[in-house]
Amino acid sequence: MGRYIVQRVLAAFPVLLIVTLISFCIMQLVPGDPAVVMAGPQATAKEIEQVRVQLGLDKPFLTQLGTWLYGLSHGDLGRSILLGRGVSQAIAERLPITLTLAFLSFMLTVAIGIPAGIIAALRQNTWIDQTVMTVALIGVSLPNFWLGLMLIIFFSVVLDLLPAGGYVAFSQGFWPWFKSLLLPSLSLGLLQMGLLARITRSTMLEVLRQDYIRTARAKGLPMFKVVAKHAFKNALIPVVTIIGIIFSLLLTGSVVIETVYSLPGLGRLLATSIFSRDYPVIQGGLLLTAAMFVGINLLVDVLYAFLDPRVRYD
Amino acid sequence: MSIRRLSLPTATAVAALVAIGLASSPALAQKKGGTAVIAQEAGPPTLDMHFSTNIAVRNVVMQVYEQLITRDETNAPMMELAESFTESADGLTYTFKIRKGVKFHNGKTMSSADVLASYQRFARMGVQRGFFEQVAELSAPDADTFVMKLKKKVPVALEELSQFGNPVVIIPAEMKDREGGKSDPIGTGPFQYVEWVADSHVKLKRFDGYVPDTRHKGTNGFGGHKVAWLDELDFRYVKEPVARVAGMETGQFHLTEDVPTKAAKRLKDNRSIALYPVQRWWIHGAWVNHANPPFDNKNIRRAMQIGLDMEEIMDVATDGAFDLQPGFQYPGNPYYSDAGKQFYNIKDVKKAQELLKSSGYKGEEIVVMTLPAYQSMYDAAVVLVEQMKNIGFKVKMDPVDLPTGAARQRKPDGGWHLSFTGLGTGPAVGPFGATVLLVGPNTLSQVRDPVFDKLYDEMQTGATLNDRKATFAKLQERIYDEVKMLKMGDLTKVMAARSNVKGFIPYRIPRLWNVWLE
Repeated sequence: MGRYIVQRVLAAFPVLLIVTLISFCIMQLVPGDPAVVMAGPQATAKEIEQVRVQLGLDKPFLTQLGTWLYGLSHGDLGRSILLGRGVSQAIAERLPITLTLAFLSFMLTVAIGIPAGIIAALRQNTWIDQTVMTVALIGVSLPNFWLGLMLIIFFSVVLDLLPAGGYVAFSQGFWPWFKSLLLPSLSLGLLQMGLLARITRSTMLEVLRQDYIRTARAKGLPMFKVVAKHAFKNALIPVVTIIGIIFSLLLTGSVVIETVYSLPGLGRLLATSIFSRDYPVIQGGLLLTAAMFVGINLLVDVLYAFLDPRVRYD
Repeated sequence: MSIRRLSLPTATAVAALVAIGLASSPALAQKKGGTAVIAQEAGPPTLDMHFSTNIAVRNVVMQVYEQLITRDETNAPMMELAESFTESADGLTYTFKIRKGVKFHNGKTMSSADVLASYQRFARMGVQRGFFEQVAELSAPDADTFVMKLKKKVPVALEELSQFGNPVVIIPAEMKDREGGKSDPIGTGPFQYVEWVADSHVKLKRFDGYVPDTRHKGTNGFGGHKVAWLDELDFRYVKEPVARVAGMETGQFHLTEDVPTKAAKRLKDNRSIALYPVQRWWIHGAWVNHANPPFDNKNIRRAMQIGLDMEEIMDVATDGAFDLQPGFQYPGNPYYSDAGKQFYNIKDVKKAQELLKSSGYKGEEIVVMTLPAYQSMYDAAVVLVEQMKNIGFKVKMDPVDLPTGAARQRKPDGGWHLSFTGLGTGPAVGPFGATVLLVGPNTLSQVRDPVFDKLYDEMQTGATLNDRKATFAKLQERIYDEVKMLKMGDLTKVMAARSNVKGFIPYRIPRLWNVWLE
């Protein structure tokens, strides 16, 4: 197993390098640069060119790429053009907010999505099943930015229970912190809850039809034990796969939700940087996101071995 | 009742009256303390005012910085950090006396050396430093005197120095050699810098050492008698309009610079919120690319121009919050002219169709580039495209983000025929700002027009206001005659403040001095 993990980690480096190169090239191809944003929309072409020179954006593409790769090989993600600080520092400041948001959404997703899927499977073709699946379908279908806006109107404006946006640091108290993250977590998590509930239901239905489940029930085992110990554990492998994907989606989904709720996390940093063409931040953010995807996939693969003793990687 | 009917007759005139009224009103008791949370549509990309013309920058940092001379409530140049000035008989030398005892936020007393260093830095790296090409020498002969010598007489020198598109703010001399975006935000204004998290917020606090300009009684443009009643200002970047409005309704924000018109109609019955419609905030328009066929044919451009219904476009785009007038300056402004009105909002579709037919148009696709980040521009483009189709054009809409639009519209081969824009600060600063983007080899109509360039130079050197005004009218006439830009109308911007925010007077930036919380 140890050897497998080392191999996977080593294999991740070329993947990340390719991500870096592709994203660097794409950003160079996209029209517009930070000089336009810095100078303002009413600056003349000459004025923008002067700003471009001051920001060092007039250097050839290969020079810029070489500088970036050299820095990267020394663990330096470069300096943000617009933030006035190192990219690593900017990311480090914002990552905890995004991870916390993703984690809270993830907890909500798992705590609601899996039980809902199990219940729907156990009550297949009843009104309970149909209700759960209808709600799940709505959850999967709703765009999360629209849902976010509706939640703001209902919980903030109509009920005046939760803030309309903004982030409150944990140091200012648990409840204010929790309240500032509750609506964003819900908005982010609802889509994934629906997805997880549907996957859990279909996997459970497949497992519940297996002979060993019938045997377990024929032996007279209580239903709870049959479901929890035999059915659910065997349904877990596809569920864990999808959970891994879901966590990755929650991380990337933060780009939209953090913008809607004005949360100063990595997602909003990336969105702002893309719209202002802050190349080093975009590069650093994409590299980190790719690294997280690779890491989560590795974690899921390792979890397989724990869940199913038949899975061996050596 | 539409927002248009609710609007102030002219924002500046009423603001001036309110400013004077507030200054002299004993009924309003100002109160020190509190934090005002201001929701901004966009975050500032830098806090270096010399290095940006971006309105998000100006909104924040003009609470921190001041200029030697600035603009008053009626947009005329006024002294701020200058005590007085003299102009030599030949018009080549301007000598400014500096106000004494003014402190920077770092505790240092401002002297003419700081003014000199600020001007030298701006002349080296300021975004709109073009005027300084005409400056022969800058000097500070003594601690209270700053002298600017020009190469040739520039009658509009004071207008140039006081422009607020990219203001020449005064910073400590130590910042002189800092590159763009690298200066520390230290000024002489009523609020001082506390914290900036670029994609989140900027915090400022009251500068207790602020020395107000006692020559004035209250708020006056960017200058006047400023008092920081509020302890702190918290500018938050809230891109989503629904979240900004919701925050205003719940009291999470005290002030926002931009309320969508539809939301404004709903909020007008909310007693906790005061709306401040500011008429003629920007000119809604689109640049016309003369280098891209078939728009190299003036008759084809004219066919489009005379066939469009600007009222319909503006109505849909702004939901009624607009004014129609042909000027690139606003009524009441000294340079206002209606030259070119014979080509504005003609909406003669039949005549346009006939002209298009006779002009040799062969069904080439017209690309209309617009910016969905601004809902009104997107909506205007949707209507414009349909109207152009009705005239007989084959049209494609091309929505792009701001940097893409800004980059492409500066290229003749950028794949566009019409490029939507909002001229806000330019026309507000004056006739030069309103027309500069069409001057020279980098004109946004993409084909250099020597006649236009010559007129622009004439306007700069016009000896009297009347001379310059006459030249500006010719410039405006030429914009219409050559169809360099489609002006659609003037957009009304709606600002909002919680009703416990007192003393707020809408302007080109949210002025937070002389404002207090009840």
